[in-house]
Amino acid sequence: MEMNTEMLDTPAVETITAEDSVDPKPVLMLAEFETADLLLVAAAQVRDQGFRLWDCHTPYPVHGLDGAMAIRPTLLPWIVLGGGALGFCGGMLMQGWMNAVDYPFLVSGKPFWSIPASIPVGFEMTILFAAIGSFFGMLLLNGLPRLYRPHFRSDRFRRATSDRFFISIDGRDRRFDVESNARLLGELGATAVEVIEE
Amino acid sequence: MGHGSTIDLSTENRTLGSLSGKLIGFGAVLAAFGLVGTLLLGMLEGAFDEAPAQSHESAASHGQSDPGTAPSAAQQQHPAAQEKHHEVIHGFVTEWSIWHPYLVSVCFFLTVTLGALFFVLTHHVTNAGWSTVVRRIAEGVSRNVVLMALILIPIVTPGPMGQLYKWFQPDPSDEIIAVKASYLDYDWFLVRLGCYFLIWTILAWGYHRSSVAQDQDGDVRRTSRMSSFSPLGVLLFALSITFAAYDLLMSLDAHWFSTIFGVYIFAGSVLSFHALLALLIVWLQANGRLTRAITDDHMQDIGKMMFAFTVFWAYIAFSQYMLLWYANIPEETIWFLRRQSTWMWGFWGWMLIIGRFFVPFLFLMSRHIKRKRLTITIGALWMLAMQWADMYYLVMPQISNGQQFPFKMVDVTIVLGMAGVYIIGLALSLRGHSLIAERDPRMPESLAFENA
Repeated sequence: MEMNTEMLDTPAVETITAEDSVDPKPVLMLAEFETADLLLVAAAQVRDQGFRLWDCHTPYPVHGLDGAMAIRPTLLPWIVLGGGALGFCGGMLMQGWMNAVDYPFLVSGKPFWSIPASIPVGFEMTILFAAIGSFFGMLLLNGLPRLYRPHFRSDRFRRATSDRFFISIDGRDRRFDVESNARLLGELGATAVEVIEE
Repeated sequence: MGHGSTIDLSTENRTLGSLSGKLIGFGAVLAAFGLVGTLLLGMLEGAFDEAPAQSHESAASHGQSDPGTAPSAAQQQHPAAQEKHHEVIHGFVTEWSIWHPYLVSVCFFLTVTLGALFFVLTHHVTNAGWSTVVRRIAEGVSRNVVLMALILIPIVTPGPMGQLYKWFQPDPSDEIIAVKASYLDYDWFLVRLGCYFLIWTILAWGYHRSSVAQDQDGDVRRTSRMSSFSPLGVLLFALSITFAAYDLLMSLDAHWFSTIFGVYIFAGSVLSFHALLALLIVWLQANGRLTRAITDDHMQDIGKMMFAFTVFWAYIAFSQYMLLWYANIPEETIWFLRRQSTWMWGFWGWMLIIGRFFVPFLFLMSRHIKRKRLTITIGALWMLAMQWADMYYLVMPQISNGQQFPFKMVDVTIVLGMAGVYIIGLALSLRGHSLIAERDPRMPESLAFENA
C-alpha cells in the first residue's frame, strides 16, 4: 500500500453543507472511483477496516461486489416463500369456505371441497402472494420508498448512474471520522472525497 | 469470487483419457451383474415361465435374454374367477411378462437420452452462453440413442409385442380397437419407430460430429449452421418424442388416450437428463476432469433447470389428471381408476406426487443446495429414481388391471444391467475428443459465467 500512496494524489476533501442547517454535522462521506476494479479493492479494504454503515453505488451490477462488501444473504427469499405458502393455504381454505360452508353448491357430483378442483386457484394464489411478497418485501428491506438521502446534495454523485463508482460511509458509523476516513479512501484510489454536512 | 476473469484451460484435464477404460470396466461388471441377476432371480421368481397363453406366437419368440423357458404349472396363479373379472372390466388387461420391466427400463434410459438431445438443440435455438461448457457431455449422452434402438429391438419382435400390447392381437369384438386399427398396425408401428430413431440418430450424431469437428478447425460457421437448423430440429424432436410416447407407452392401454401424454414424457425426460448431467459432472470433477472449467455457477444453473422441470412435470401431470377427473368419462378415468383401486398403486401415485414434486420442489429451492456437490448429487439420484418410478407407474398397472402389485427383483436387476450397457455406451461416446466444445465462439462467455 505504501508504494501506491506515494504514486496517487490524495484528493482534497470537499465539504458540502446544507444551507438551511443550524448546526452542521457531517452525516455522510462520499468517495468517487473511476473503475469497478478500483472500487472492488477499496470496498474490500473498507470492509476489513470494520465499517458497518456504508454502501457502494455503481451504474451497473458489479460481479464480486457482494463478496467485497461482505453483504449478508438477504431475507427476501424467506418472505417470498412465506407469501407463497400463505397464498396456497389461503386459496385452498377460501374455496373450502366458499364452496363447502358458506354456499354449498354441487357441481357435477364432485365433493363440495375437492382438492383437484381447488388446485388451479390455489396455484394462482401462490403465485400472486409470492409476487406480492417479493415486491413489497424488496421495498421494505430496502427502506423504500424514500424521497430523500444526503447523497443527493452532491452534484458529483449524479455520475453514479452513468460512469462513476462511489463508496459512501454513513456519519453514524462508529468508525466514522472525517480525517482518517478521507485519508483511507484517498489511499485506496478515490479521485474525489466529499463530506456532506447537515 | 472473480469477476468475469477468463480461465486458462491449458492446464485443465479435458479428456476422458484413462477414465474411459475404467468406465467400460465398471459398465461391463454392472451389465454382467444385471444379466446374471436377472437370469437367477428371474428363474426363482418364475419370470421366464410361460405365461397363460394369450398369444399363439409368444411361445416361439422369446429373445436371447430369455433362456429359461421351461413351462411351469406354477404360473397358474390366477384363479378362474379373476380371469373372468378381467374380461368384464372396461379397458384391457395383460399378464406379467419379463418384457414389462424391460419396457420400463428401456423407457427410463430412452427418456434420459432424449433429454440430452433436447438440451443440445434448445441451447442452440436460444444461443445459450452459460451452457457451452457442459454441452459436449450432453452431445455424448445423446449419441446413446443408437444404443437404445438396439436395446429396444427385442421388444418390437412379435412375441413380446403380443405380451405387452393388446392391440397387437386384438379381440375381434373390441370395437374401440377396430376403429384405431389403421394406426395400431404392427408394420406401421415399426415404420414409425424407425422414423423416430432415424430422426434422433441423425440429430444426435450430426450435432456431435459438427461440434467435434469445430474443435479442430474452429470454424464459427459451424455454430451458425447448427443454430439455424436447431429450430427445425426441435420441431422434429417434439413430434417424434410425442408419438414415441404414444406408441411405446400410451398404447399399452389402447382404449385410453391423453393428448398431453407426450408432453408428460418430455417433462420427465428433460428433468432426468439434467439429473444425469449433474451426476456426470460431479463424477468427472471427482476424477480431476474439468475442475475449473465447470464452476458452482454452472451447477447452480443445472439445478435450476431440474427445479424448473420439476415444476413443469407437476404442472403437466396435474393438468392431465384434473381434466380427466373433472370430465369423469369412464373411458378416460379408467386409466387412473386402475392406478387407484388398490392401496399399493394408490401409494405409488402419492409417492410420485410427494416424491417427484413436493420433496424436490422444496429441496432444490435454495441456491446453496444447487451449488454444493453433495446435495446436488443427492437431488440428482433422487430425480433419476423418481423417473424410474414414474415409468414403472405408466407401465406396470396395466398388468392384471392393476389388481396386483407386480414388483419383482428382476425390475431392479434389469435396470442395473441396462445401466451397465448404457455406461459402456457413454464411455465410447465421450472418449477420443475433448469433454468441452473447445473452440465454440461462446466458450469464453460460458467460462466466465456467473450467477448474479
